[in-house]
Amino acid sequence: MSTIFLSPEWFFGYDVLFEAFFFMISLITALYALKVHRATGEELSQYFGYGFLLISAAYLFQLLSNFLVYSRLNTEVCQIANLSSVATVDSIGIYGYMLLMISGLVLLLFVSLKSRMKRTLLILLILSFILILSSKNQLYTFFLLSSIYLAFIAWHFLENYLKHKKATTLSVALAFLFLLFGSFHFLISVNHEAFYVIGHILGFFAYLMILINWYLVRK
Amino acid sequence: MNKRDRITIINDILEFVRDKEGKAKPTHIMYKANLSNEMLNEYVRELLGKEFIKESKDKREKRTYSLTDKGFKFIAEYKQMKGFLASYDLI
Repeated sequence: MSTIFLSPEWFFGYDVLFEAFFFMISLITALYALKVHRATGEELSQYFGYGFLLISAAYLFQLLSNFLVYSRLNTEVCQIANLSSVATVDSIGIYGYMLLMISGLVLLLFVSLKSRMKRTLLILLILSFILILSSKNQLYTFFLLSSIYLAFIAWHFLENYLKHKKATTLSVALAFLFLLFGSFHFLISVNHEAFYVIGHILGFFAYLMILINWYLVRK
Repeated sequence: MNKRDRITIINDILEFVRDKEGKAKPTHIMYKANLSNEMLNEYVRELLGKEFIKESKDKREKRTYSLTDKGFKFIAEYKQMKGFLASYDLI
């Protein structure tokens, strides 16, 4: 199982560029949130920062995995790491992506719930891991869980926008709605190649919104 | 927002310390920032730890505080940090 199997041939390489963009924006957001936490001691900012750090690590896994496949370096990596097959390298990539991404989303969900109970976070993480790893269709379960979590997160940011009608809160709400549509689209998609491309385009708009918010708060 | 958030309290304290130009006394900070004595000590410890303020003694050996470069930097970045936190509903 690998993301490469979902990607149409003409999209090879472009997806890596998209993922590099997602990685950069999520990393910048994470580092800034952690910087704000260090300066102010705001606890939610710390969880939010770690959430985006995990999401950026997920994109790094995805783009490295795809890059290895396209550049055909995975055969060499396989030999160096003494792994049984190229599929093992690809599986590490996709499992790494799924587990890091779901952990990041769990942290963002935890922040949106405004819960201070660490046990809530722990139980959400454990349940998510068990559900994905014990599932027969792990990719489907991953997108189902991601969609549920993103729905709650987007709902929270939409409420925040309705409470504080500003361009910044709107851009954040739109970003998570784009991410939700990108994830949910997989569940109803019959053509997974088309999903892969549409998912990346929706992801691009989502991270563009996060970048716009970054610009607005800093100007 | 009924309750002042941490970032606002920290900024209020630092702005007061800045305005007093090195002569800010603990009791003045306490009244200005509307904090209890316990809360004031907690915040002062934190701000000293983060090197946003530094402590010195006046002629009568009373504690006074002045702003460090890091403290000035915090005030300059306060609006951006608060805007970031508010946009993600983190305060």
